[in-house]
Parts: sequence; C-alpha cells; structure tokens
Amino acid sequence: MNSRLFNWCFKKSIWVYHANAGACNGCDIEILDVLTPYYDVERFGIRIVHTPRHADALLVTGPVTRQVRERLLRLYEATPEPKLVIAVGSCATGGGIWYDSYATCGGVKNVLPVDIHIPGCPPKPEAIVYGVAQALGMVPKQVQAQTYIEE
Amino acid sequence: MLAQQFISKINLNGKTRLSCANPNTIMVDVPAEELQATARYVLNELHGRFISSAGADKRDIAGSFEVNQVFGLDQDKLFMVLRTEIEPTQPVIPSITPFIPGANWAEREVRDLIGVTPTDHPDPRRLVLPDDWPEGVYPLRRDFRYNEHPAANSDGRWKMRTPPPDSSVLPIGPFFPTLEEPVFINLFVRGEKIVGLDYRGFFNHRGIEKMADAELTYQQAIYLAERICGICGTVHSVCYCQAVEEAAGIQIPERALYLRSFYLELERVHSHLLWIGLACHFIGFDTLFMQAWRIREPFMWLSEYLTGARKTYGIAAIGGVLRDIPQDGPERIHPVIDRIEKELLAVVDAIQGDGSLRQRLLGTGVLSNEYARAYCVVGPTARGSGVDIDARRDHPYAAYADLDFEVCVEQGGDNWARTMVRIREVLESIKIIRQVLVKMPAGPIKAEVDEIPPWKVGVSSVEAPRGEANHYLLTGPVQRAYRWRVRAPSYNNLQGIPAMLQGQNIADAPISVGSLDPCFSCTERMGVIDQDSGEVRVYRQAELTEMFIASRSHERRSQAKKG
Amino acid sequence: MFKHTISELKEALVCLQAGQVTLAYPLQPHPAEENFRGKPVVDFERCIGCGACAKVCPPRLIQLTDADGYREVSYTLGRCTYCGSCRDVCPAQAVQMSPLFETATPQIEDINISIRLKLLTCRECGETIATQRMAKRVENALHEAGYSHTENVNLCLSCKRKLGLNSPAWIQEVTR
Repeated sequence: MNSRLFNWCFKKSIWVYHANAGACNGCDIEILDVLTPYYDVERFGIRIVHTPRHADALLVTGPVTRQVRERLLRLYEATPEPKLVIAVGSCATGGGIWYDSYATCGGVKNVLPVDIHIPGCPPKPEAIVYGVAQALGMVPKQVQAQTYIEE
Repeated sequence: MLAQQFISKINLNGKTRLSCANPNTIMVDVPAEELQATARYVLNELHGRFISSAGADKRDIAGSFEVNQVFGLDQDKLFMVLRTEIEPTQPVIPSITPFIPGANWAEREVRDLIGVTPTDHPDPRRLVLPDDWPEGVYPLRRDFRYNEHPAANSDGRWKMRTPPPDSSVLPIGPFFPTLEEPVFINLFVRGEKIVGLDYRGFFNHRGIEKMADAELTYQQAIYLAERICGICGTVHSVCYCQAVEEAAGIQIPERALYLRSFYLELERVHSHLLWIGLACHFIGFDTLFMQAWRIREPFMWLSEYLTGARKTYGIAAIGGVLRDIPQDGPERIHPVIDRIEKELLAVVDAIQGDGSLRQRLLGTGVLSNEYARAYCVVGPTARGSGVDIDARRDHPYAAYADLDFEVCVEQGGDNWARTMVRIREVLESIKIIRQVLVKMPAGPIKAEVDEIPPWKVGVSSVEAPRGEANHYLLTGPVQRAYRWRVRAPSYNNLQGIPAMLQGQNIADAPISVGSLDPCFSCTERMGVIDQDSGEVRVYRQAELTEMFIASRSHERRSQAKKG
Repeated sequence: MFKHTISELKEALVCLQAGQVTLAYPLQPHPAEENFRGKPVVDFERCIGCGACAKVCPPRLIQLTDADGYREVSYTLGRCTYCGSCRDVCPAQAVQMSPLFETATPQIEDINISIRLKLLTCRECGETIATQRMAKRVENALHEAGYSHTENVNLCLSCKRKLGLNSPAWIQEVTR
C-alpha cells in the first residue's frame, strides 16, 4: 500500500468496524470499554461503525475459527480501500491457547494481512488505545525481539 | 443428602444399575432400550432437571461408545448421570428430546462430535461443527488427532428450516454491529411480528474439549477453561477444578473456599453491570450504557490489583486457589463496593419511573414458566420466569453453604423481570462479598495434590452470572482428562429464544435476546428479504426505534378506541 | 408523564454528579496496578534452560531446541495468555511478568524472546546431558549440602550406570 497515500488518508479520525472471528468475548468487551467514559476513544474521532462499507479499519478478535473464516474474508473484501486490519488479543495475534486446534486457523495473520497486532489476554483498554494510536503514527512501538547467546 | 443414602430410595427395575461416583453424584448404568423410561422416571418421580449430555469414545478401553446424560436433583442437592453403553457397530441412542425439549442441542452435539445418533430427534441437523467439515469425521473420537485439519467439504451448507407460510425471512448475522459473537439467526416474520426463527450458532467452536483430553495436562486445562468465555473466566476455571476435585476426592482448605466465593462474586458484579449497560445500548439508551460502564470500571481496576488481571484472574488451581488477596486488599475493596452500591441504587431509583424504559422492557420477550422448565433454562432467565433454581443454594460449592444470601426470583417472565433479577443480584453479591471478608478464616489456600487417579467421574455446577455452568469430567490414565464436557448456561438459555420471541415485534428482538445475557446478541441493522419478490429492505436502528414507537402508539390508540 | 420527567431529571443528575472522568491517556501515562501480569521478561543471566516453563505453558509457546552445542529456549509470545505459570514455576526466578502492556507492533515477531545456552555433553560418550548452567546449579546445590563428590556431574546417566556410579552401594558410600 502506498505509504504517503496511507498517511494522508489517516491524518484525521478513523472509523472502525469490530469483527469477532470466534473470540471468547474478553477482547470484545475491552474494545467496547474503550468507548466508555474513562477511556473515551471518541475524543480522537475514532468511532465504531455498523457496516464494513464505512470502515477505515477492521478490529478483529479471535483465532478465526474454521466456521467464521469465509465470512471474515467476505467482510474484508467488503471493506473499501484504504483499510487497516488490527488484530486484537492473543488469539488474533498468535492463535491463542488453541492455535493448533482442528477448529481454528491459528490467528488472523493466517487469513488476512494484519497491519497492527495488539497482544493481550485480553489487552487492557489502554493497550488497545495505544495500538490504534500506533497504527495512526501517534506513538512509537515499544517492543523489539530479544536474542541472547551465552558467551 | 448423600448419594449413598439416596440410592436406597430409588425404585428402578430392569437391567439398570446404580452406584455412587462420589458423595454428590449417582451413576445410573442404563441399557439403551431402557433409557427413555429411566429419563422419564428421573424427570417425573425424582423431579430431576436435565443439565447436559456428554458422549465419550471408550472403544479402546471398553469396546464401546458411552453417552452420559447429566441431571440435577436440585431438591436433594445431588447429580444423577444416566450412563449408556453404545455398540460401535450401531452407534444410535434413543432420543430424550421429544419429552425434554431442553436436550435438543446436547444430543445433536453428541452426534456431531462422537458420532452417536439420537433416533427420532426432531431436528437432526449439524450443530457445532463448521459447515465445511466432512461427514463421518468425529473430532472427539480417540483416533482423531486434535490438530488435524481434514479437507473441506465444499458441498457443506447449512440448511435453514422451512419458514411458516406467508412469512418473510430476516437474516441477522453472522457479523453484527453491536459487539459479541458471530451468530446467524433467521427471523421468520409476518409484517412486524416474529412467527418463528432458525439459528445457526457455534461460530466460536474452537475444539476446547478435544484439547483438554488430547494435549493439555490438568493444570494447563485450567487456563483453557478460563478462556471459554470472556466474562465467566473464573466460573469455568473453578468449575473445572471442582470437577477434578470431586473426581479425585481432594479436600480444599477452608480459606480457599471463601476466596473462590469471593472471586466468583467479583465476577458476578462486573458481569451484571456490564449487562445492564449493554441492555440499554441495545434499546438505544446510551446514557445508561455509559453510566453503567462508568460505575463498573473501578471494579475492573480493583480486580487487576487483587488478581493481576482485569478479567483472566488466573486464580483457580486444583486443590484451592493460586494466589491470596493482598494484605491490604480489604482496604481497597470496601470503598469500591460501597461506591458501586450507592451509585447503582441511585441509577435504579432514577430509572424506576422511566416511561420509555418500562415500555421497552415490560411485557416484551415473555418466557412463560412452562417453557422455562421445558427448555431447562437456567440463571436469571429462569428466575425471571419464576423458576426458583440457583446452583449456589441447590448444589453448594465453595463457601456458599456458610453464607447468607437471597435467591432473587421474579414472576413476570418479561425483559423487565430479568432486569430486576440482575439488579437485585448485584446488591446480593455485594452483601456476599462483605460477608466473605468478615468470615474468611486464615490458613492455607491450596491443598497438596498428588497424581489424579484415573477413571473417576466428577460433576460440578457453578452459578455463573448467566446461570448454571456444569462440567462433567472423567479422569484419564495419563494425567489429563479422558473426557471433559462443558455446558455453559447460555447453551440451555439460547434454546428458549424461539418460545420467547414468538409473537413479538421485530424491534423487541434485540433486547429480548439480549436479556438472556447470552454471549452474543442481535443486530441494529437488518436486511429484510421478501421471499416472493426478492426485494431487500434495510432498517437502521433509528428506523427500528421509530417503528417501535409508532407500533406502540398504534397499540395504545387501538386500546383507547376499544376501551 | 410527571413521573417520567422526574425520572429523566434523576438520570441527568446521576450524569452530572459523575462529572468528567475521562483519563488523559495516552497523552499522560496510566500505569498498571502493582501485581499486573504484563509481557513476560527473562533475566538472561539467571535462565538455566531447564524447560520447566515449557512444560506448564498453556499455549505451549515455549520451545526448547538442542542444536550445535546450544539449547535454544524460544518464547513465541504472540499467543501468550499472561497466566504467569512460567514465572510461578521457574526455579531460578528468571521469568517475571513485567508491567508492560503497550506491546502493539506491526510484526508480531517483535515480542519474541530467544535464549541460547551452552549445552553440557557427557565426557565419556558425548551425549547431551543438559545445559552447563543446569549442571552448575546441581554442583552448587551439592556443595551447599556438603557433598564434595561433584566430579561426575558431567557424566550422562547411562555412562554413570556403566561405571557403577549410581548403584545403591556407591550412593551409600558417598553419602556416609
């Protein structure tokens, strides 16, 4: 995706469509929590929309169960460009505790191209706000892979 | 009464054999041909309540499949399991759904996962497995590896029931604008009235039970249980631990029992406050949604302080609890619960006279007492319809036998009644938390646990915010469960939806379904397909609300004309 | 109607009394509670590569791989459930649950940890026994308990048997 076009489109507030792809609901509740008075993400112009057609970003939770996979793909295709995919929670970012179960696809990255991963089980509302802010370039990434080799 | 004493009272003839699995559970070995008669006996003579079915593949050890039907004998504080052996060459079992409608899904799930088909079942369609799952592959059979991915069956499609004549089909889902899980409901409507519905759920089938009996140890499965549901984490993890403890005969230290009650009530408060907010969100009353969640938030911070996480407390352990509350826990707990109580009472006082709220909730989504019993619903859904059941009192666990609390029952059966039950339960939970903090004894919080003996049965119920969660467990020979069956409360409650929505307006569907507090609810945006012309009309929430108000004023005008 | 108006006024009062509660996050930090279980971190100097964490991890994200004289302990934290079992079981207190929750990243591999520790091989047959740090730990424990015979820590079990070094008689000899 063209980076300059991307940055220009997302200069202002983004509208988000929340899709539960087989999650337990923990992450979904924390996402909803982000709208409530203490966190109030609508301050930044971010709001939840009720159709993927209006969405700038898809907030996907859950490991993507086998049953939901096809519908998730259709949802992704229904979302117009430019779009972001934000995977929220350990199930979405890595498949969670059932990453290798017969009934799941092991995480959103195995089904859709993910722009930002927000780990957590469930991630705190602050972590979700941080992740969305990071997707908009407002805050820096804080994690880096660590390697150590004994001398 | 202990199971052993109870057995002497039972009068069952034929080839049925009785035994005690543990002090709370009676095993009834029933041959398939006597199953229906025995189930009727349990239902009618012993006043049993159907809870769940668990199928198991015991071909390697006993040469047969096994189907267990779990019943609750609430008045006697016991569980009764009807255990039937099934020949692998002819995997069928007589269905009990014709006279216990609440067993509908449980039997279909046994067929999906083990391959034992209930004969004469009114709706033998696939229930839990994905649509593209190949026929003849049964995940819970021992010869299926938990991480296999069989090739998709591209012809697999869910078939909707035939709608009643002259009705349109209103498809809802699987993706909804308002929160919660993917689920596919087809409402059959005539004009504004719902005349039936068809449901395709289980979009979150993740293969949990298979993982616990094929890959994870007893300890790892606790964390699996905690993530079954996004709110009832402690409920399922404690219920699982209790089932293992029942099976293995492990005694829990007293302080651990009190701590379990404490954490469970903590969950109930935040869950009900969450629901109050969501219910208002469904009917468009966002002010109260925001206020309810504002009142709830300090409770989440408290949970984070006491347990290390807002939702996944991670405190259940086999033998007790993993972590005690911090020394200064009570200092932080009391101000928070006092404040929640005060604010909740202010809100309840404020909404008592709210005309629009009463219009939306009173008289809508009525589930009669008869239907509530027939579909074996549990929790506030049942208590709102006058069914007096509560696992904390009927099958005491944790410290509830020593605690003083009221079981909140309402008679209305409508959305208002269920709302009132939940509000009262928050206030009761706060009382319980205060009692626990006073009465909790000092001492160890976890018993030493050796190896868990194999081939033992444990059945345990915990009263989740949504109702009774029940786990059936059979221990295995390699330090993991051999079969673990989780029956969440919404499993039974969701089966009551058709009865609840029959004759209701479309606009009342979201709040009626939401009043079950299931792990999903309805949409705000729906497409209506006219079956004959193929025309599609789309309603937005604002339009639905207007339609509702218009229909209510129309009703009031026609009432006025009549009267 | 009047009742309804009173009700609405009371609802408004609830909102007004609550006032503005919005936190200034992310413009100002809002740290987690003291006991919060955030991203696991490993003290690389303490880790001995025993694999206890790998045995208890529910999403099984900790893998031990022995190759080229090193044992790699790798944490694929993308699927971490933040249960704290690894921390609870670590005999060297190497794993801690940090308070970090701002872990969002475009590449999920950014939160992974990989630790390579030197392996100890049997002085007789060359088989891998364990990591050198584990052997050191055993040696230290033996010294602390008053046993001076620690020279056979670098023998594998089969070689010990072959040399008669863990027969009941020998054990009695060294523990006298």
